[in-house]
Amino acid sequence: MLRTRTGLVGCAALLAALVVPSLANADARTDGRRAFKNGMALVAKGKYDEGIKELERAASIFPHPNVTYNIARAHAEAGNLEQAIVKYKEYAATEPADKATILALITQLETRVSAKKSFRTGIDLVSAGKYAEGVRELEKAQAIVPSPNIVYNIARAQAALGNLEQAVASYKEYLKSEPADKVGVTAIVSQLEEQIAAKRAAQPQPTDVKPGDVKPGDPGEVKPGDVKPGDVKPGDVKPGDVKPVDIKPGDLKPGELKGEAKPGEEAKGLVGEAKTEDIFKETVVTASRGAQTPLDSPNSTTIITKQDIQLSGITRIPELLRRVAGTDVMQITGGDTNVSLRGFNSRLANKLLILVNGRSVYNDILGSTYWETLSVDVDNIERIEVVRGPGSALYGANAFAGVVNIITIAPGEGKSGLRAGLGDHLQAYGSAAVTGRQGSFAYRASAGYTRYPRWTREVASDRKDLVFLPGVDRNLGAQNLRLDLRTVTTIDPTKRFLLGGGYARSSIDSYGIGPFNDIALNFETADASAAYESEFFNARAYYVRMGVQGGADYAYSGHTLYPTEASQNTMNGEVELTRKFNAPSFLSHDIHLGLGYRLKNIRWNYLIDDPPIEHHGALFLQDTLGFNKYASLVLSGRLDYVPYLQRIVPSGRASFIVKPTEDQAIRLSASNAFRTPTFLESYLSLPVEVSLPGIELLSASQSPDLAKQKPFVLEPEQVITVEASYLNQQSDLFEFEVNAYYNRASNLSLLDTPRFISLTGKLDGQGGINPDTGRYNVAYGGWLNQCDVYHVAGGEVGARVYPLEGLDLFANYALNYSTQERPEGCKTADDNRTSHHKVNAGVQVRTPIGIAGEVTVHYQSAQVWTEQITTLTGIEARQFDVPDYAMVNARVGYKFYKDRAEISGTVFNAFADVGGDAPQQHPFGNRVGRRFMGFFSYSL
Amino acid sequence: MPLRASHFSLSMGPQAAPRPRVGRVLGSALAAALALGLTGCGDPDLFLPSAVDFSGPRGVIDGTVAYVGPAPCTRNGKILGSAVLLAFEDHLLPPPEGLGTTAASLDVVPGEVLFDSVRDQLAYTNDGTTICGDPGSSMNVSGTWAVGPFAAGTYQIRGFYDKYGDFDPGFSLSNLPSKGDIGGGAIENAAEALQGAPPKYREIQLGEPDEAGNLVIPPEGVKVSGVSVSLGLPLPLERPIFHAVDVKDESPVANKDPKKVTMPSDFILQQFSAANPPAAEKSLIRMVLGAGMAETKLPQYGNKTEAELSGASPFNLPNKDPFLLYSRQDVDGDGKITPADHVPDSNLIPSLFPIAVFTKLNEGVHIGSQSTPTIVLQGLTIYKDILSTATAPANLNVPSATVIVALRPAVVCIDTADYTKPGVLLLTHDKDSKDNPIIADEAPVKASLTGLFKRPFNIKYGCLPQGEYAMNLLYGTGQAWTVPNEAGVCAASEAPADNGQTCGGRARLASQDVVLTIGKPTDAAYCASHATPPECLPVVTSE
Repeated sequence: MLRTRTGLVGCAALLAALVVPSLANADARTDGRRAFKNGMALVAKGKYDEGIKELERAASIFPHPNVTYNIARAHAEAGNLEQAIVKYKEYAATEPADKATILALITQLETRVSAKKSFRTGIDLVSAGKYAEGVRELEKAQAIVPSPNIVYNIARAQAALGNLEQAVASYKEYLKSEPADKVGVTAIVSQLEEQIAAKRAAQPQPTDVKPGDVKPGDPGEVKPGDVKPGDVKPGDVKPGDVKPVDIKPGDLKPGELKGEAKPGEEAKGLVGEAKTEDIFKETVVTASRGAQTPLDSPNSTTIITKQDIQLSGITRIPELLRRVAGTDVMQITGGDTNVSLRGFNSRLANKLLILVNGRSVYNDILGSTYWETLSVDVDNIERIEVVRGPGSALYGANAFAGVVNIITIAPGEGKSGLRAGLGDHLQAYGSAAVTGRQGSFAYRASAGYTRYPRWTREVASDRKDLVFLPGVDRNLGAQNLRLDLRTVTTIDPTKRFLLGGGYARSSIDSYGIGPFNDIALNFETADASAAYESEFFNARAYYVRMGVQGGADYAYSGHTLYPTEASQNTMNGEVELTRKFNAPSFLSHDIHLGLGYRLKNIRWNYLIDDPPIEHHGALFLQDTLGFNKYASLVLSGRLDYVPYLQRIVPSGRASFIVKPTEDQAIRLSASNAFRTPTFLESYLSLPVEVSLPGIELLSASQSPDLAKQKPFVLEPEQVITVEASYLNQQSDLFEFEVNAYYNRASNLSLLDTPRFISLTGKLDGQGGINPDTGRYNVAYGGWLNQCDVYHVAGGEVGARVYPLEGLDLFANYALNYSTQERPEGCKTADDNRTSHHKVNAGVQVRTPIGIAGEVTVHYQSAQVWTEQITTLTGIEARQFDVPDYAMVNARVGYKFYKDRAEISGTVFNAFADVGGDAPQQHPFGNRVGRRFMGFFSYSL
Repeated sequence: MPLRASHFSLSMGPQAAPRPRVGRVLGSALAAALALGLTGCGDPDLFLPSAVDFSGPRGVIDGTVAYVGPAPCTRNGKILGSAVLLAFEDHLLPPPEGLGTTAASLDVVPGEVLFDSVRDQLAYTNDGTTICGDPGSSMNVSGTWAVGPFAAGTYQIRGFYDKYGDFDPGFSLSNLPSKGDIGGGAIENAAEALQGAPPKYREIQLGEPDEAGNLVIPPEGVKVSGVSVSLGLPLPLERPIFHAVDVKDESPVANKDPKKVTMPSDFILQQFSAANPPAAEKSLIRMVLGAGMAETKLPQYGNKTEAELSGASPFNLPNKDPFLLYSRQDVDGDGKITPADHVPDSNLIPSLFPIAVFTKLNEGVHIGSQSTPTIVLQGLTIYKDILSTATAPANLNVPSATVIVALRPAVVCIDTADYTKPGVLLLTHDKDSKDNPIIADEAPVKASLTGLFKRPFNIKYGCLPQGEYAMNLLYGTGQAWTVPNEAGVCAASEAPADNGQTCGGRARLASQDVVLTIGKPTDAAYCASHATPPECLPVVTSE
């Protein structure tokens, strides 16, 4: 009760903190876009200062090299060359495609700055009466950047030195530029020539010089007063011009190199065009292996942005996915979350392909994703792309229901910093990242740690009837220590080489299938990856290793703990050719042609003794045919060779996209995908103890009873999807998407019911006591393809609204209904494990006083799970209800110390036990309760 | 220098908005809220998903097994057999104490493990032949075992060493001990039992009594450790393997075919009176069960008989000189055979081994399925005839080629999942056709049944549950034989062939696929007025 009250107080405080701000900054991306547009408009009008301020604001909201470039350009146009150089250098450091041009520009600007310095020095010296030194500096400036004004000022100084001939020559040179003060200068020239002439005349030979004539080189003879004010009209001279008539000691004003140019005109010929493309528009890469907006994506794609991640305060990656319409997120234990899309979630969710920067983290042993074993830290995620619908046409096997691509902050990007957090029940989080560049080399290194407790424990430590797996922290849901290093070397603007690796050591409380409940696993995962990317050719290779040890957390005394030890080593290679061309001229093509290879070497004591090393191969081709700016057709196809099946499995996708306007898209697509049997399904050989400890059934993919008939082959699961969707990003105030889909899923695999050994089997040597386990084998189990076909229809509708600066609202709804078609003789249980209705909604707020936060609400309607469980005699299917539940998550943070430091607090499932017990998300799962957590972060 | 000043500010990025005091206040409030949140430290709550009781508190038993007996047999370098430990709940004890045939749990200690310490003393071959130690030799080895999980209750541990390695719990043909196996259990009078005294099995209590006196498992579970099991009693008999030979039926039903014996659900005894034993005997349908397998020839198998085939793989049954042994049952367990050891329904008729029990099968399933509730028709074992039975000596120990089993028109209905539910003895009629009462005094019958099944009993009259009933013969050692069994019934994976002579890849022994049928009533009106009570009707588990 005390905890409940404490939780409510904490929650109320968080909510109170959230409702205070009335001023707001908009959603970062939209804010950035607005500021960017304003800034560019002001710069175009010549209002450089105001424009630069807006662009700087855009950059602070949503940093992007293009914004930096435009700031630099505006500075240059405004004549602020030093500032322009700084910004250009900042831009060039991001290794842009036009880096060479920018570096040349920087050189030019630096030259001009140097000339300007000489000019100013020269003027200062002249003003101080040091004419000779002044002339030298001015001549330096003239040599670097020739200018009439410099010539003019040289002329004036020469005149002051009494070098009348040189002065006249320079004045005449100046007059060639047809200056506005031509009349006045011409008069000066005339006077000087008269003085020269007089001087010459005063000389004994060849002509007489009269007394009082100015002698050449006679300093002091020319005085400002010598030029009559009426000779030069003030309007003829622009501010800053330095003219002899103005010169008095200390009178000289620094003039511009090009006194006649308006600010910025000087650099106009250098700075090039502004970069005006909308870099604030979301870009996705997953659905078609190339950067494009969601409007052009062949699949419905949702992005979880960095802002979403930061404002949510959520540190579990799968929990971030909950806000995506149509996503099924199910926490079973504190360390085991399973995710699927549009249904088909399970205790070992295996129908979603998870990528990290395009690198598959698919667990080939089980097919599931152990999220807490990844070396990715949420603070290092740039965005997460969630592609709904089959993706096998591009990614091959296992992109069954969709693809989730976690894209981390690129090497050299983002900020260095750290974050540390603590929460109730010993939740802990820590992360630190260092990013930097050295020439063409950039890196990002990170280290992180998380600790999540179990939501609830199934058994107390004082149980007398159980035996426990030693060395297990029974309060622990998951613990992960991770290191990650990614680098990129830019070879030239179109070529780069990426190298990196990650390592994570994790402990997880997990749930398996069949008899495997509450399993304690220790993981070691590592990857090393290398990639070469260029305009026309990409190659990637990576190696992933996963080592697992553990077993059942507990078992009744006398029963086995199923000790497990597994290793997975996969090597992946992929080459891809890309080409854009028109053929015929009205039809554009964007071709991606590639070859893929994946080696799987898996050893596990639950499998047959020597499972084969599998060599998977793939050929894929995609062409985006652009008919015009309104219509395009994306055709994708892939052939995968699956060693277990010993055949090629084809996948395809066709997506027709119509864009009535630039920011609207209507998409019709059809695709198929498959999930290939995992090693667990392909090579299982595990004696499963039934409730009677002396008896077991052999769960085997190739059990002796079936092998005698013919080798049993588990067919890949198949899905065919037809989808229609509409996406509207017309306004800066909102975006809107609606999808409707139909899925036909077949060949789903499940555990077979026990096949008891017959006397014929006994005649063949089956059954009897297993010398390895000391138990009697009485039956066989294994896998089979479900005989029924699932017809699933549903849709998603979602909107994101930005009504005020700093206020971002989102909401989405997903509908899912399925039926099972059963051929004659097919007796499968009804399965309604997917909620018919799911709703997500949220509010994000950022204020100028440094307070920012988010509140999200998630609801899903009731489910009925058909689960296979172990009984006295084997495995059977039973149905279990999961009532509907809602979750409220919230975060509030306060930034200070120049926005570098932040403290924040999160509450997860804030009202977990209000009105009853905390909800279960799976019938066998923990009660997912409320958790508080506080963080401190600091960025350099 | 205003321009330079302006440039300086731009180079530092946008002017940060001034942080009002409210920001700091909120920051403090947030920190306070976090501090409050952090106070909730400690172990996560305990929660066991109710959907499936995977790991709720239960009782477990473990202990040691001591083997005292001849050296084990070996074959191909391996020690044959294993020690099999069976736990029985005291409401479902095996014969002779009860009619339970299914153990609550089972553990196995392989011979390779049990005899590991003496394996150097054993002889081995690698040619497939079996070498057994001198029956007179004696080895003393021990091992550990554990059984469970159990619900609250009282349990007994029984066991045996499967000497020849022919035990296999997957088949009813081989799931019980056979001749030569070394029997035993957790016996309190182990020393006496080794000398021939009736064993007194230790009663192991799992749970603590609640206010009502019922045992309940506490939240931390129960573990009883150190239970000693002794195995040292060689079993002298083979299991009572049988087949239906004949049927004697003087009733109006007039069964002729022993393989298709049917008793109407409203069967009435013509004359059931102690005053006229021969008439009473004739009132009953009597099945004659022959020892071993039938001599039926199977042309598909070279005209070998079932009996011949049963001795070979995969059956591996003893088929030389089979017999069934008549003996008296110590009903009251006092270690003596006295007149008190009689059948429940007559104090004049002693209870004899082999006990005959007919258990109702689920509809259409001949193997491995007892109906729920459990419905048992207790046969009456007759030695020669009813008079000879009544006068059977206390030391009756007569091998016989056949056994006569009379079918009582009565069944016992018990819910094995709920021991608090009273059992029902259901008789078709309270009187015979001559108006003689079937049960003169219900009280001793109830007492007898209560003692056997450890629950209160009611006696009801009505039509018997219709359906097929498996036939079982049981010895006092717990050895039993059931028909139908796998030898006569093809498994789902064994396609029947050869006109019923073959199941999959092996012979089908048709004599082992015989059932007793409780059929339609001869007088439907009677069953309408005396319907089968609900306690004896099948539980509907699905729509």
